[in-house]
Amino acid sequence: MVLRLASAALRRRPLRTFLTALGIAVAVGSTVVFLSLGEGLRQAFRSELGSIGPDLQISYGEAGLTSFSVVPELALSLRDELLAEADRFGIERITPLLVYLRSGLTPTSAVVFQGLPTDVGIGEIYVEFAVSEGRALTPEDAGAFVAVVGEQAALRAGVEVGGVLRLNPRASFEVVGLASAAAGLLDNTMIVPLEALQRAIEVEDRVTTLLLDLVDPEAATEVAAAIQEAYPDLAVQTRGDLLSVVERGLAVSDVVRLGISAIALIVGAIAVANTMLMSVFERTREFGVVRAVGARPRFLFSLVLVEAVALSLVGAAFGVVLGYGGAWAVNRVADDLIGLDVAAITPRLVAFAVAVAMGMGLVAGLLPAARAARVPIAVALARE
Amino acid sequence: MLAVVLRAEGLTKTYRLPAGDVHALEGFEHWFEPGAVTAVVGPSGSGKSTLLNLLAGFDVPSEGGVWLDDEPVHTGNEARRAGLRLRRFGFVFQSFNLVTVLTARENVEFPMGLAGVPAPERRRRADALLERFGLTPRTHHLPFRLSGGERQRVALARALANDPDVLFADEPTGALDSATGREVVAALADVAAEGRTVLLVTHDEALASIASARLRLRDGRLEAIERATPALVP
Repeated sequence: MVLRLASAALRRRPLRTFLTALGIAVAVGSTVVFLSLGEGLRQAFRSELGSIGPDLQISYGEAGLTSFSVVPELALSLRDELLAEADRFGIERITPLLVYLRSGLTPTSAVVFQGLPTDVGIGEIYVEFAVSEGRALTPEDAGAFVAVVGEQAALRAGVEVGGVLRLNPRASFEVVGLASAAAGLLDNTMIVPLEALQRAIEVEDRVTTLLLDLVDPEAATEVAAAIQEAYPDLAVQTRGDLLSVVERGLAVSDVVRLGISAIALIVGAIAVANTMLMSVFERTREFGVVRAVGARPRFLFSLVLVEAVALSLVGAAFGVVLGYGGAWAVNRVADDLIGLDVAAITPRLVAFAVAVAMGMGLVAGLLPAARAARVPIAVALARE
Repeated sequence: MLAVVLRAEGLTKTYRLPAGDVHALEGFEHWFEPGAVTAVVGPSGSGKSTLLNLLAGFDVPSEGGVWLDDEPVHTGNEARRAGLRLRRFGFVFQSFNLVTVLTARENVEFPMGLAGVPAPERRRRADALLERFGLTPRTHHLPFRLSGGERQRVALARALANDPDVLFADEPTGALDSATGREVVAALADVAAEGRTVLLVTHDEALASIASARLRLRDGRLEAIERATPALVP
């Protein structure tokens, strides 16, 4: 009976119900879009980091989300020191990596350069690497100003095989190959010989990070601890550490995005509360009658609360649909800019949005429900 | 049906307002006769509505009390009073006061649903009551599709849904034409004849003439009790 009365009450004022549900839909939809950004980045990082070869990654200073510092700080001589102790630590191979971000005024003009030794196949670092046009780097390219460019990056930079890519006024690279778009993050970077990049940015004895392959990858945590103990100034991260650092960073951004979403949700909750208060006021006499014939205050309290939650859930359903639309639009833009789908709507996100809407309905319905339950019968019956 | 007595003793309601106390009802005492219609009459402001509110448990008295046999109506929390209204009282109002989104049958079933009567039993009793008041063809109609007289008869059926001991009727013919009003009055007389206490609040002297006793209120006080052989139908 409560459900029947609640649905009838919502249908009695269809325009008001629609507009309130629309308000909730916008609030929930924007929350879904905001939070989908975190989910998308989470998925992208997981798949990208999972496809990166090294078991350990060493950089200078505190471990953090921005492991790749703008200025390379790690002395290349550390590679030799570690190689000297390869047996002790169980190191199979060490690959130095230099990362350089050529910033631009717009996201499309920013370019990431990665300097790798040419005797290491790119496919050994990026499992999904494949050349779609031209050729890969070979050991003969050592020190040469040549580049293998991700398809997306090439598209944005407007270069093709045989073209020239300027890093700064002193250095330009000839594009010798394109990396297939399937390679994820690599799709947005320029792979160049390590020594050439070091010369171009004048950091000849420094790199950003060392990528370590271990004899026993299962022992990564123990090896990381041993290296960390021997070199306290360095940050030694396992793949898992890196994921957890990323996860931590994403969690922080989740809180920020949730905070922004909360504003929209609060506005939605106020809309629900306002609608329910108006509805309770209009139905004072009816509530008085229901009480007169024997309904307990709790019945009216439940009735109004059910209406508020139902209204919120209807809004949430539309909100999730809106969210899907919004995430699709965000991905279209992000694909054009950086070649990545940054928004992803996962089942847990949908469940969260629905739960939040339900909670919003409950909270927003409390005051009107309490007011409905307190309607004095004699006063309500006297209401025209 | 066993006769159950509704009685009021020293019933007083005082509203404390900034401008001073207003005595809406003072020292009302009466034992209502079971199986009969008792009319409460008096001009506007005489305390009729206040009396009804107190007797029905809609409001609590400032002093005195109301009992249904030995069970107090005026004490306890609102949930207890709601239970009392649900199972032992029935109500008919001037403006019908049906739940507008429920059909005639659902309106009659509503108090039974609140009382926890199982659905098949609810339906059986609702259909029997609708048939009693000649409303079977209107079973599935919403209130807005019913005439005033039909609405009031649905309200009467609803009032009897949980087989109450006392029926309160507040100006039950006030919104009806005289012919329809007579039908409703006859139905109230039938209800009283079943052994129930029927309390009729009205300022319509003709309607009050069906009552075996008329309680005349003035300025919040019981001015007179007029006993008469009730007219069959005014």
